[in-house]
Amino acid sequence: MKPRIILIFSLLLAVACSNEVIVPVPPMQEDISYETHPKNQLYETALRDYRNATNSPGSVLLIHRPGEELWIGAVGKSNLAHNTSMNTNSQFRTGSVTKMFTAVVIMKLIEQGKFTLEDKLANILPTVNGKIPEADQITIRHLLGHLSGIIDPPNESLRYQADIINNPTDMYAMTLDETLETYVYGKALHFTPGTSYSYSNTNYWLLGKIAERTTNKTLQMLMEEIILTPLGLARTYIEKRDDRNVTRGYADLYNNGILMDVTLWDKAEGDGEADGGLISTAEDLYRFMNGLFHGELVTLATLEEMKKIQLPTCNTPYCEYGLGLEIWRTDAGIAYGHNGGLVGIEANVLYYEDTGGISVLYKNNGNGSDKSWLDSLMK
Amino acid sequence: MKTIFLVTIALSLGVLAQAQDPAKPGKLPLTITVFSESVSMPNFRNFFKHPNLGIRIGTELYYSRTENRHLLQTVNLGYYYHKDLQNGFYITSEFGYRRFFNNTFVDLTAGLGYLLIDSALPRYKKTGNDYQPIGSTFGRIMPTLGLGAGYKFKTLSVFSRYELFGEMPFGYKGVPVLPHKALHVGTRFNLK
Repeated sequence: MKPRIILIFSLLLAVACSNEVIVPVPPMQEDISYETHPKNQLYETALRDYRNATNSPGSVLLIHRPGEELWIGAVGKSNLAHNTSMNTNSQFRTGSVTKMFTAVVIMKLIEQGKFTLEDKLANILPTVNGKIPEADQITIRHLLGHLSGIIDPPNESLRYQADIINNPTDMYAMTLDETLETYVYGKALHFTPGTSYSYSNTNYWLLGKIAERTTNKTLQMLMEEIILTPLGLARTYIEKRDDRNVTRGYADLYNNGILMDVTLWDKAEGDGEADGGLISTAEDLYRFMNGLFHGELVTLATLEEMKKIQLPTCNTPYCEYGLGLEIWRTDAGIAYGHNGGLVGIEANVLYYEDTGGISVLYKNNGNGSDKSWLDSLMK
Repeated sequence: MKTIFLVTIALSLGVLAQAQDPAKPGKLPLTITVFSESVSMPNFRNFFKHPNLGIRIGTELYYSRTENRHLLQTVNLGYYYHKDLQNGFYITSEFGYRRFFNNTFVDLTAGLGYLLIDSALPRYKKTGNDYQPIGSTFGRIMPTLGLGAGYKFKTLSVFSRYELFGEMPFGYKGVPVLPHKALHVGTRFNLK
């Protein structure tokens, strides 16, 4: 009996299921060189230093300063399995940078009279009544400015985080309604709506839902109408698509210097969602920021509203958030934009108000990073 | 990690040597379970939705054994397949307490082991300015905690067991342990 069992067990070990995640071959992508730019050396050195300091396979930097030609640089790899070089046109996941795009869609719908900033969640999305506490007190403004008090599963729920690791395929396939039902509905608010600030991805899940419900169009269609087509952003989208051309994400999960390909987790958490699903390029993000801050997407009055700190009692940098815009106090002056992070990526897009400069920074390692070195380049 | 593996083996052999069963020399119980594994916080959700299956074979010896209670030590070998995450091979040893109520019993175990992970996520190591693919296997410490209940027949027992185990050190965003859970069903009987 005993030898038989040992034999069976040994056979099981020998035929242990092959489990490796298949990484599809990416297509070739056009690269544009900026080597003739007068500051190419300076910018490229800064980018290489950033990539090395953050243990990232690849990184992209875009710098636009008024009076200077646009510069884009790319170093390292976008896909380690196929040794694909990162290039200036590489598409990547942007994480919460998406929130700026969603906010622009919402503000445009407000300009079109679909609803107002002070409309209540309970009225505009009646399906959440009884599922989100005080939905009759939460306004569109509260959602855009993270003043609703609604919980944030991606950052607060260990269950949500474990579920992504456990079964990313299931999480990727979940509808937004299923996500809300599983992780949000029935949970208490952190505070009375409008009285404090607490960053929550749920706010933007709900805003995406509101935009779709009030127009009977998908968020992809709305972004195309309001942002992508007017600005000619051909490499940007939010819907779920075959992602073999998208830069892969990596993370040092065991804190031992070894990077693991966590693209499946990034897809599961972000793709398709109004809080973090946008896929874009450095140049498209630059053109978005340029369009937004020069009144090509929403009116200048709307833009001013978006730039205002929304919490009246805010007295720390933590709560300095407008309507879909983070407010950064840098050595190069006030900057508006957004940081984005998933397990395997980090993206950052800023518009510097004093100079009119724009920076886009991306790396495919999801650890947070110091970006203060950008200030000296953007002054 | 090789050191952890060798220490686990040595400890397992040590506890087996210590936990002899004076009452029934020569009788070595064999435990076989099949289980469903998930990465999860402790809960009872989703054991049966897309289960990641595993098998565990082990034995146990007794520090003391009366009609109503056993103080025991287990040694186990296990394997599970977790889709898109890892194959896990492990050796564990657990200290346990089992209480009988006629033929029904409950038991509580806590232990430590070595988990050999065959990662499904491709791994890369920095060499110079580049990243090179490296092997998919690596080892981790595996703490375990189990709660079981079962029924003892004349020659064998059947039981179910809820187990929490971890892989550590983990480390992403400062989280020290990646938590797993497993629901086992199994049987225990004596080998000649």
